[in-house]
Amino acid sequence: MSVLLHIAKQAINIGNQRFSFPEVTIENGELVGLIGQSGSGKSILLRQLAGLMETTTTLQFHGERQSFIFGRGGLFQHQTVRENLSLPTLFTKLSISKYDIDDILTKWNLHNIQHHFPPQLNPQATKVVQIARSILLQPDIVFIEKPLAGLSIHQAEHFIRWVEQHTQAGRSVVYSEENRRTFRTLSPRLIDLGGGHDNLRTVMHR
Amino acid sequence: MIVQLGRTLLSLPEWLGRLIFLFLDMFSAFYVLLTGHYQWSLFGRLRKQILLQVWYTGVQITPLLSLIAVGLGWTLMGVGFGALRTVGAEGLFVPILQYGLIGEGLPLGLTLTLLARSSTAVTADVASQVVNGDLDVMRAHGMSVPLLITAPRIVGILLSFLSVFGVFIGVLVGSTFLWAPLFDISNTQIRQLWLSGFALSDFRWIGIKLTTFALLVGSISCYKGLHIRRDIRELPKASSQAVILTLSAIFFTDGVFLFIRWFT
Repeated sequence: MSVLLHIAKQAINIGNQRFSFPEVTIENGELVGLIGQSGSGKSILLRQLAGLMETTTTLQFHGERQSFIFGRGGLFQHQTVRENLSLPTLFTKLSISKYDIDDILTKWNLHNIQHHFPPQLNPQATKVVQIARSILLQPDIVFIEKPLAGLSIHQAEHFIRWVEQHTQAGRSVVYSEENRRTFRTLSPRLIDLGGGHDNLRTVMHR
Repeated sequence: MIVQLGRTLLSLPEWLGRLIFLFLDMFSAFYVLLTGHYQWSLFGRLRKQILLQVWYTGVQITPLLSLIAVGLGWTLMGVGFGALRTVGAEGLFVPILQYGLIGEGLPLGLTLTLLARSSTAVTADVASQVVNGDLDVMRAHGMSVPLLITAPRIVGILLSFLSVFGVFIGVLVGSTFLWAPLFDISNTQIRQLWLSGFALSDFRWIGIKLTTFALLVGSISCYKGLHIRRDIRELPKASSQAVILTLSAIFFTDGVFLFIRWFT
């Protein structure tokens, strides 16, 4: 497997807090989970890996496309659900027709809300729209904040199946999570950010 | 206060550099678009956004500016030409019209009117997108921020400036023909006044000035909006800073233009 993303070991000050992050290398087709207690910097590292936050070292990304599923928000507030799906595809060379968008809207049960704006959506629907956008974009890597939070059992099953297919196709997924059950469902290579997660290890071992 | 002034003066080159980078980003995004790295339908979206900006900045203000032009036409004929003719100095009317009004006063006046209208609006619009996380979504999905945010607004403001000036001059000239009979001025006299008041070089000069002013208004407003902290309380501060900064930049640039035109 070849290296898709690499960031060296770094320490960064954000506000009054100092964070020390290990070296991270993500290969094609890998599923990686960032673990750590609340405040350990999971989200910061995830956003750094996605190029959304400054780093004190160099970030190397060897892919073409990426996508991010945010824990909160994550959609263009002044665009409809349908526009939120179609807009990012304009910045790629993918041939995505309106039928592909119709197809994904139907598959994820979003057809009825396709002309709604994000403030009209509940958090669950917001997350599903983001997932649909990621599926449509076929990214080399997907960054996810709390992957299963807010999804129904049916949607979570759907999503886990997609993550498996995605990694089997040689694409990568990186996510940050506190909920121990997620690590049992989506079994990743873990990157430990510290912060007293011994209990979590015990649970996973069992 | 002296320290503050010193800091402001020292930060000017840095500001200039940042604005240059904003333009470079925009041009490189256009290059990427033109070289076919994105879908062609992005052009349609860009056009729509530019037209929307022209609608807000240029079209909506046209009725008010047309009324001002009609009033100015009356003032020019009645107070301006009429008064000068009374004292036998009507020969001064053309230079005043050419250099004072059309060459200097009008571009600056229109810029200030459009600036007051669009600078805060553009800054607030861009800043609100930063605050509610739209920019993160763009960056996280490889979408070009210059193409979606900066370019449509700057190009839209530029087109608005040029078209509003054209409309204003058109209405002004038309209104002088309308008012002239009231002040015993013949249509032939008016035609001669306007023809001798305009030269091609004047328009070229006005074009350069308006383009520069429009680019300043657009780029500074976008810049202040883009570099806001993610706090909604920062929004009014950024908007007022954008207006003050743009005003200072425009007066400074106008001074430079005046110097270049008259003293070199």
